[in-house]
Amino acid sequence: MQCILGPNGCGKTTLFNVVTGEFAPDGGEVRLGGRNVAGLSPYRISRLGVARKFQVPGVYPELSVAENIEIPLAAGAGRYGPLSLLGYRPDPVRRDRLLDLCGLAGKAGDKVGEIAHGEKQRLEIAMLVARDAELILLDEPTAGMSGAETSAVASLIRRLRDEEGKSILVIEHDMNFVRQLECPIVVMVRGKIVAEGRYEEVSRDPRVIESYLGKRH
Amino acid sequence: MQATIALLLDTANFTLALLLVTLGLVVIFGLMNVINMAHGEFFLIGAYVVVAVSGATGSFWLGLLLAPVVLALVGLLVEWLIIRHIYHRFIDTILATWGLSLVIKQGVVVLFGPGAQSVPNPLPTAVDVFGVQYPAYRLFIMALAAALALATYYLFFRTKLGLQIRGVIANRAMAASLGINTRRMDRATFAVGSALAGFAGAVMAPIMSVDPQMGVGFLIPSFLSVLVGGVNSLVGALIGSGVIGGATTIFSAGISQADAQILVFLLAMIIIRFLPNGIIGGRK
Amino acid sequence: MTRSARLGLSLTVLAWAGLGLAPLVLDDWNIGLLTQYVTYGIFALSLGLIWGQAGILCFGQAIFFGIGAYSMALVTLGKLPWLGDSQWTGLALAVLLPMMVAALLGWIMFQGRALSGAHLAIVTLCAAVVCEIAARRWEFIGGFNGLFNVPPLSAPNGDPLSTNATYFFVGIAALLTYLLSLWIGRSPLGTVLAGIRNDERRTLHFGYDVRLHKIFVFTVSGAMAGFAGGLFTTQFGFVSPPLVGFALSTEVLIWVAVGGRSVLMGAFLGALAVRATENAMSASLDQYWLIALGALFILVVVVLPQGLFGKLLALAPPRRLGRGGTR
Repeated sequence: MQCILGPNGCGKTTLFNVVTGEFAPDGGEVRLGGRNVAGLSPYRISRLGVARKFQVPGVYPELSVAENIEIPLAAGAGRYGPLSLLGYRPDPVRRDRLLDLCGLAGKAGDKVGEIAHGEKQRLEIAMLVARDAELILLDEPTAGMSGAETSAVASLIRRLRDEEGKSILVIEHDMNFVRQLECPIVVMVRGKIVAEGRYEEVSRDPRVIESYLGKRH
Repeated sequence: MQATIALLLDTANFTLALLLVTLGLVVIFGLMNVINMAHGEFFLIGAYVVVAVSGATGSFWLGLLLAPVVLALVGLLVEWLIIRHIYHRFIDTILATWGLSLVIKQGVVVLFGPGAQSVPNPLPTAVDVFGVQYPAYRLFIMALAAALALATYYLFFRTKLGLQIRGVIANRAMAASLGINTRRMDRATFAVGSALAGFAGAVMAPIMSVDPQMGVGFLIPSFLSVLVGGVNSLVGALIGSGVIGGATTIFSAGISQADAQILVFLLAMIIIRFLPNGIIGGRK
Repeated sequence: MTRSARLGLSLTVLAWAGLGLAPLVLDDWNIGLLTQYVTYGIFALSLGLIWGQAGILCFGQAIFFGIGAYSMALVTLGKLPWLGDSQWTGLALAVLLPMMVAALLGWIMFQGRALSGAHLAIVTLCAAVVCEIAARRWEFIGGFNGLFNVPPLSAPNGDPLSTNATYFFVGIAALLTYLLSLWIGRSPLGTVLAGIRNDERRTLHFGYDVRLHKIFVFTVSGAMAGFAGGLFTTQFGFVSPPLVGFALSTEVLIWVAVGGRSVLMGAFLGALAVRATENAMSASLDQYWLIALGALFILVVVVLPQGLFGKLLALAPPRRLGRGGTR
């Protein structure tokens, strides 16, 4: 897991865009599992196992929690068309684990439009995991959340790394959240990395303090 | 040569009549994002207002004047009763207005009977146009349609009111925060669109068979005109009407009218398929 | 199972049981009527499947119904001699031909993002109008008047089936159609279709070929509607251009909307309820009935999107989608 911090406009989202194929870089490489994927189309990069959470909410508000999970879960079978979907049964163990992961096991039948904002975010992350992506990119996953919801998301993301073995890139502003992630941090300013290391080192780095200091709680 | 001029006049006639109907549709559909399936029935009401008024007072012109007024009122009523509840539910506007069209059509049947009515032609003379004897009334319709199209364009693009309406359509929340009464704009726009349809029905009454089915006959071509020309554009309405009206008239000159309708529909399908945003919108 | 789900299940089972026991209480005349309503019910199911499940609003569903009716009539009247005149061939054609037309129409309409919901509604509406015009002009299929003397459903020995036998045949066909629709709706395919209905782009980004799925369900729906049309023509003995047209297409839309578009049983019973009520109207009230129906439809659309029966007949979600998973 790697966290990316930096003031607005330093290039964090652009970095994500290059990784997922929205932009082709002018130079340099993007190595996914040893293979350079820079410049490939987003669809192809996505199928190589990259999933991205955008800032626009990515859940289906009119469907239930369980249905939301099922759609990305069945995407593997879905690749073979509607008939294969008809006979397909998603692995219940995997489904239950995903529901546990986002803490919504007891709300499987609830309509997503009616659950809390933080729960929707966690559901969306679980849906990304359901897609079986190896690399997950999260763009400000705690935007607009309370302290308690933030901790729940941090715990979820740590579990993704520790229990599910996923690789995760996180863009964030909330320093409290970043500290809870317990991962290496990279700080960008105007397109360049100015500091690297763990939270304790980075938060005391004079260059970081000088150019950018996120919210401190 | 004479046949060509006659054909051109007929084409212009149908196209401009179609434009009259389509304008109202574009105002409501393109600008308000409401699909008014009852538009054909507003057209119908306009024609029947003329039937009723000229039957009672003998004056066609009075009927023509009253029709848009009646329809503006009908439009306001419909907007208040039905439309304002479903602005955000786009697909439901299709269903609700289509239910409305059923109610109106059947209402007309109940009030006037299912048969055809006729309205006497108020200008029964013919005028010589480049060697062709062409009915004066049809020329009148064409002139009126052109004038009305210009007036609508002027209203929406050259007046303050038009700017306000377009502002509401572009960004409702912004417009409201700038002090524009969005509800009043909605009502006004729907009323204008309805009045246009009613006026079209009234003006067409003398040269058509006025019966409860006449609405559908114009509804389909005008929807096609909107889709072909470009959904959000008044100019698109003009282009679309031109294409659909022109194609219909020209095809009808060579083959039966029913076959012509089929061909026009297929033509429209091909255009829409490749230019989903209409001719104005170009490729997506 | 929640209380409302239990109610939904009970009412659904009760409705089918009631239909099954109807010949015990109703006379031949009314059984004949009921057979017609059930046929319309199959038609309504076809629309309920694409509209309620996948969110495809088709204003031309009668196109497939009518093609099915014409297919059955053409075969059993011997007008397609190379196919023979067996009613089974007729039924097969009544399913296959509309299916192919639906596949073609779907393939044209569901191109990329070319046709939004509104575009689709208008295009299918115009298609229905055009189909009726074309049917009226095609002499081979009977032109303006259509075809008459279509033979009723018959037993293997050639005798026409009794009223009750026809009723059970149609009834079982309806039940099977219902179960098929239910199976589709409750499978992961149904979930994906619901996702397409809710947010097509998102479903596309999950890697689904949305277009293919829409074409698939549209094709199945066309086949069902055609099947209903084939059954229809054996009961009424005729087929004519209005059966492919706009009026019938919009009627079935009303049945499904009033009954409940998102609950299959609601769509089915909606057809039965509206038709039965229409029949019960005396001739003088008839003209007001249409106004009332239109007003009811508006009301349902604006205020009651689940229709009259939607809430009552809603079933519990499939177990794998229920509360808390495998319990």
